[in-house]
Amino acid sequence: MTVSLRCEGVSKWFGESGVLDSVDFSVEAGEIHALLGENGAGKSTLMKICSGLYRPNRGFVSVEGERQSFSSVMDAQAAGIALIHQEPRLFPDLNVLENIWIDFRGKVRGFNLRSVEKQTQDYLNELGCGVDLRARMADISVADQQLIDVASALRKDLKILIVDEPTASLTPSEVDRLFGVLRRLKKQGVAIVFIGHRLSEILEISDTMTVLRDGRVVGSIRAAQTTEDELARMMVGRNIDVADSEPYVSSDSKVLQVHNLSATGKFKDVSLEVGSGEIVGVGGLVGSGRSELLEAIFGVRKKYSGTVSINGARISNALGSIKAGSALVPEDRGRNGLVLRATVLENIVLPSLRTLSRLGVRRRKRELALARRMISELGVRTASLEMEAGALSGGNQQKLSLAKWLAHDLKLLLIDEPTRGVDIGSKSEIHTLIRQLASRGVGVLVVSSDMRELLSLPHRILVMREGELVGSLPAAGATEESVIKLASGVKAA
Amino acid sequence: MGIIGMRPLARNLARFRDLGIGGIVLAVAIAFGAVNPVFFRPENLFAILLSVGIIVVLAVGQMLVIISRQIDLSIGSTLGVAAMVTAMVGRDLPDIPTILLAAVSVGVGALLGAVNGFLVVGAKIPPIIATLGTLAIYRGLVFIVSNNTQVNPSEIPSGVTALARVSPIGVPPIVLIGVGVVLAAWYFTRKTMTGLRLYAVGSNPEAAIARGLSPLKFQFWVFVVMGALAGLGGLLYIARYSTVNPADVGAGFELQVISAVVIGGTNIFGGSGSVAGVLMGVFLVGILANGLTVIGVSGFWQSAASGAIIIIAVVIDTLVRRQMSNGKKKEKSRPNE
Repeated sequence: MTVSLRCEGVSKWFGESGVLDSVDFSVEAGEIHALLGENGAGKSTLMKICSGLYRPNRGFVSVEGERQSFSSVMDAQAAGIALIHQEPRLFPDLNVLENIWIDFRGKVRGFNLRSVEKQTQDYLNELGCGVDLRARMADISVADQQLIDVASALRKDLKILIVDEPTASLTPSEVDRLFGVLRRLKKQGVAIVFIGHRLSEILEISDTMTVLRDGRVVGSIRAAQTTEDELARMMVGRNIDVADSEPYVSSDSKVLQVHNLSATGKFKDVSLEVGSGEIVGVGGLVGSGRSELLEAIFGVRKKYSGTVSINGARISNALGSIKAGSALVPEDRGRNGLVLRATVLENIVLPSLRTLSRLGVRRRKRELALARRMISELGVRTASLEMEAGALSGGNQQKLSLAKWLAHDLKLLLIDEPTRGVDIGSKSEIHTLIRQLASRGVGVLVVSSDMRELLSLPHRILVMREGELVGSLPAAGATEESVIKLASGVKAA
Repeated sequence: MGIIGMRPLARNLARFRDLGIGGIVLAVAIAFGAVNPVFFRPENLFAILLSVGIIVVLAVGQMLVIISRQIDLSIGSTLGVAAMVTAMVGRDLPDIPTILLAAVSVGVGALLGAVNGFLVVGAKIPPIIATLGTLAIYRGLVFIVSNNTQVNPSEIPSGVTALARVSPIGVPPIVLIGVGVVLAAWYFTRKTMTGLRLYAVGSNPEAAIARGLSPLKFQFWVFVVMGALAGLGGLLYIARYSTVNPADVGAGFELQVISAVVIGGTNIFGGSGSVAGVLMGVFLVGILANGLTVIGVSGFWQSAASGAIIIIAVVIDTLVRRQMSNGKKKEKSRPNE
């Protein structure tokens, strides 16, 4: 096998903080090589160096034995490297065809987009992507956007393909389709670097894996010779317990009572209760109305009929809900959970400004004290309180979006996909946090599509199907099979 | 649903959008004509064409600037400097060929545009602030250069004033120049890869960098192009009005032009906009300015009335668009149900 991409002694630092420390890393042609590590371990930085977005402070990148010094993305593209980012780097105002060809630089006489339509359609067919070439990118699903991103890489003379967390927002069948494409490229001799968090997926798709921790290589290992547990240990450098929650001691005080809640077209006649200190999980297929249910309970979505009470008091809108001590941590942190352009400090104090300020004037000392306490309690890794929230890694952003509510006198936590796109270490920390909250008497309603999370975190599991609550299982006896059967409507045998 | 079935639908919707504004333009024109038939007299339509010819040159430039996620507020003053300098050169050298005067005008405009571009790209000042500053600075330059003296019609070379008169071809050169600029912009935005990249850069600058495009380059050059077009507008201004008064020349043009561009459906947040739409927007603005005078609305009310009609036009347009996108969504979701 020939080595396609090699990094030798690559170091990178930003100002004072070092991100990569003499990393050696190589990928062979026709190999799928996973790059693993917790958020902040330096995976993305390494790949940005390989694709010309950053320059290393020390060390070299070579392609097929030739040392490169990329000064731009174009240089890396010319060397046959393409990067597919976790959020597709596309242009919402342009159509599919234009998006794919936007960086075409060949000097072809008479080149125009119409002349490459057929060729482009072939790429898309090969990827099993059925979108219209003239459709505007803004109207296309994330999964198809990702495939279009791949298609624009296929267009070039591709030697090395880097995919950065491509599966975070894809459904299982879409993941299968993407993996099919990666395997085909591998057969054609393309070297693939795969960055991901879901270990089972990584073991399935990759041949070799290299683990990074704190900017250094911990080790490389063949997929056949390892297990999820071993990988997880390599990533965090300690054992991770995926313990179940302590059993719930039933409490008479109900934090949340929902009666016959309906929202047109989303869900109907949902009734449920969450006790003080209880963690209730909501499972079901994507699109079964779970996120909408959480939003309606919190009061940000119009409900058609039904009532919501928190600690016995009827709630009619989000402000009342917040005043009654409830918090919603939404799935999309960037859009709904955090003010990404505000600082870490501002995000933490935002919901508590009323209690922190005096006569409407903010008091910085109290704000700082609160923020410091939250940061250390939650283990948010940030360079400073004045850093933009958007600059934190995914796991740290999620902790931050929790922190901003914990400062508050919390009674009910509504949380949607708490650990999506979050690395293993942060995941168990977030679970621990949620359990601590529950042990303090907070009622938690958590929506999750992660089966292991759904089976281990809650005390009780509710299952939704097509907008209806179809079952309630005690977590102790629930299995993956029993949840899936309820969620998909398969009759128990 | 037939994906192929979507194709003509999507195209028709886009076409319908431009037509929608066209419909409003037509309705406003008919309304003016109904109140006072003088509106449809050839001399009046001729006057409208002349002012549209000038505004469209600026509007096309502003559209490119806005597509790139920027804005240029200084265009009225840029036009002013270019027109004043050109008029003074023409006054002092009466025998100079018109083409050289055009070069002076366009050159001065491009230079001022480059200054804007440098402030934004080099000094990293947000476009709205940088050009607000140069709006005032360039206006000051007009006074300084002219020593606060206006250039009178008798001092303008006849070659320049001829641009606003009917030529042997039947239309005044101003209109031909306007048509030329529109066609060039249409070709650039619809047929060239560079034009497509301009949209890309405005649509998602971060993605543009990741795909190896350079947003900064585009951001700089659209200001230069805008400046050059404002300079050209300066020459047309001299031709049309003959008098170049330091306080009046180009003052307030930025508002007319930006209104026209936005009415034309250009997204003020960048990434989209069409020449056809902007052309319609320019017609609406031009017809309003003229029509309100023709039907005898008092000068005090004209500005308020034209503002109100512009808002109504945009509201109608938005409602129509929302209706269409709802229809589209319904169609999309049907097979899933």
